[in-house]
Amino acid sequence: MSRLQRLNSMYAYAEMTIQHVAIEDTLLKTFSREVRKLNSEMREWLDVSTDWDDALANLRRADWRFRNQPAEFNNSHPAKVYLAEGLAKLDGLYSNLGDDVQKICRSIFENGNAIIRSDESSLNSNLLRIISESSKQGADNILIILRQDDLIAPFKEYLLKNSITNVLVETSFNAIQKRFLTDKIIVVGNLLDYSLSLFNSLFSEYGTVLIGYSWVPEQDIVGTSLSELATKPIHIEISHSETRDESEAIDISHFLEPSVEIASRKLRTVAKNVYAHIDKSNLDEENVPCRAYLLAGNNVVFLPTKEGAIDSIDMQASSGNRVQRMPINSLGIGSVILLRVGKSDSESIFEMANSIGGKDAEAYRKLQREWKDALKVRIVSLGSQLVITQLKDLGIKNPWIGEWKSFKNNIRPESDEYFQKLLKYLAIDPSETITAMNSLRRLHLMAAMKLRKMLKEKFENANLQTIHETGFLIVDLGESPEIAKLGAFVCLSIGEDVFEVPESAVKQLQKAVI
Amino acid sequence: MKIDFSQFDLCIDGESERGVPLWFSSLAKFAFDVCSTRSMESQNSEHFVISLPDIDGGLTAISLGSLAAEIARIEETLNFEEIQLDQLEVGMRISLDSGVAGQQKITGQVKTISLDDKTPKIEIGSRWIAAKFIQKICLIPSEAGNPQIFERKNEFGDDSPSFLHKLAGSSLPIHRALLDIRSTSKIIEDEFEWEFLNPSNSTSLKVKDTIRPIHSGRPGSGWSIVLNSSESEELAWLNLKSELSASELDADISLLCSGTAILAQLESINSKIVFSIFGRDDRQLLATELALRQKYEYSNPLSREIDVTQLHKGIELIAFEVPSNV
Repeated sequence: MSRLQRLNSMYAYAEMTIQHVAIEDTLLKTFSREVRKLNSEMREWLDVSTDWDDALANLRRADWRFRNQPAEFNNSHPAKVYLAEGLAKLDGLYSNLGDDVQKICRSIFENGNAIIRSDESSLNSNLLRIISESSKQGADNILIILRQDDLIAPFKEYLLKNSITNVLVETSFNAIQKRFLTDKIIVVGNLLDYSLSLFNSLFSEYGTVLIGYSWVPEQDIVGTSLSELATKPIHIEISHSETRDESEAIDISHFLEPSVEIASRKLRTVAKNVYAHIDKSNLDEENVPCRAYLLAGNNVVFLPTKEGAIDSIDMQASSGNRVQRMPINSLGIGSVILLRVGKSDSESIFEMANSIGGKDAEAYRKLQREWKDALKVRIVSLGSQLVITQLKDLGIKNPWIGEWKSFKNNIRPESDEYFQKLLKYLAIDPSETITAMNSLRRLHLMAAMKLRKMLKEKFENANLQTIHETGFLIVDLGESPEIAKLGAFVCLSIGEDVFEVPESAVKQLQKAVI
Repeated sequence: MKIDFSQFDLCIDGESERGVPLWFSSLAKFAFDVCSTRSMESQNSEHFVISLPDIDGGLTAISLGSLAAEIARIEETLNFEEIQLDQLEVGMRISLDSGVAGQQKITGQVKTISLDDKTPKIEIGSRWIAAKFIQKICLIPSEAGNPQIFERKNEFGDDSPSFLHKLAGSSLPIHRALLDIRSTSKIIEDEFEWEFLNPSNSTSLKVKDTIRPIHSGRPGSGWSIVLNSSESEELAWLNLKSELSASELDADISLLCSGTAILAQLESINSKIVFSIFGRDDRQLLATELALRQKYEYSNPLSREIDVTQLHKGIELIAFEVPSNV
């Protein structure tokens, strides 16, 4: 095209209506809205807290890049990288803040994680669609304008990967200065993101399409910055259209029934009520310092304050790596933890070990019951204190008779030496019982491994959407009715008070009592 | 005079399309209308800010329209009084047609009158013209400047030459700045090479044939120029100022073309009509717009009606006026 032809066609297509395509993407919209809300809520903190500043800066960068950077939507997409960093920094920052902020953060977590898991970008798909439609209309040379230089190379790669070669990608400044001759101009972002010159000095036969997001308002006309003074102003109309939404946001209000939401604000009271209902009648049972965790589905669990780990689901991980052992100390709002529903861990393993061992297990259980019954009889007849004293005199340093006498939670003392001394003290032949208890312990180990494997398989292949929608998901572990169900629960709030919880009630799901 | 490009094709960089584009002719016609209807008594400076999607062509179109309007005005309003040979006096500024068919135009100040010689003759400038060849003598009004020309008159193929041919010719003995163009050498050197082709007789006129710089001792209407691109150009301007009188250099119409020119000159220009032309792709767009906005802040609405409907789409116009001393 000659210079004169270029000038003529530029004037011929001048002031052609700009088509504005607003992408409706509920998931990104919710995330974007909540990030802006959080930024507004925490504005005063940003100057004094580098952690908050970092977290929000990453989240805002992510939000911007999701809306402005078309590129391969894998885990190395800068928006996803910023988002993951932002979420990691945000984790743990807000647990002591007000409910409103916590709610915003939870929403950011849930929606952010859902975006990270997604391999579909609404920006990519809509851009490809518009390019394809333009080519079909007859546009041979398409110019796509992106906001800044570093967005260009990744998008070019993405286009090549999609076998698109008739598209030129440039920044606004370059496009204006280089006076590109194109049939179609596609601008990514919103009108106010760009110099007005882009819209009033670059024209093309098939017009300009502006592709933005539905929640960012767009103008109805565009002129120049002097148009309001003009006797004859430039007046380019913008016609709006909206794409159909293909995503669903995660509304975290579903996580909480209204009654429990009230309870979350009064977790201290709720925790005390639950604690009051725990069976503390067994005086021999060890108490463990715990904090109360409010879980989705109107549940509470007490978890140790000092150490320990718990199975959890990494919602960001791909199938096969979701179930992970997580230190309790690192749990935060939004973490998804796995808990037995109905029966405790030890009960499930007990049942499964019997099932695996068959008749042998029955024999082992008989011997197990014999030595434990003998211990109980001794305790009843002599009293706990005397039994402990006598055992200490035999050289057993820490005689945990309360734990040892338990049939379901304990098989034998850890030390062979102590176990031998204990059995002799109870007048039981040690060799047969020790061998049987060792075999039983192996059965428990196998049962625990099998349980964990079943557990992992269930959740690795489960549809986690339910967790996003309701905050929890319960699955059956196998056919056997005596084996407990397993639940994944989103953690909604973590109490500050420490309770001395009987060991048997630790990690056990409790119904919230308001 | 009428702005009519109908017999021409516009040719840029050797490439032409049939006809002269509407966007171009609309600018030239607009400039012609604005300049030809201006009030000579006005104490205001009228500003016409024209923004284009691309600067290309703006300078040429507005220059042609403005220059045509100024020449037409002088042609219509100034009295080129015809006198006889025996009325000549030394010091008179005259324009005369000489030759068998009056095919030469000679203009200048009468230095010597030797009608009593064996061969009666007069001296104009440094040239002697035999009295027997003199066909017509006109007194040059002071508004036409001080032309000193000796030129063979252009021969036109028809009786009504186009306005472009009129601008290119020297039928009017005018030697003064009619248009004050301030731009960059890049724009001027580029656009003044543009051509208007006449396919019917395979002739062409370059823009530089029609819009000619005023120069000491050179014929024809002119335009003065201040370039902002180099010191040597500024120096050339200073030299020109020293050679020409103030009346020869003062144009009523100024044309600032490009953000650079507008930023450098807008505040110092006091012409009756000021065209500020810039492309909306100008690298100094923001600064230019700011400077224009500031000028507008102290302005009044234009006190006359102008027809803006003829301007092609894609062209924005801001019109206002300021008192001449502002």
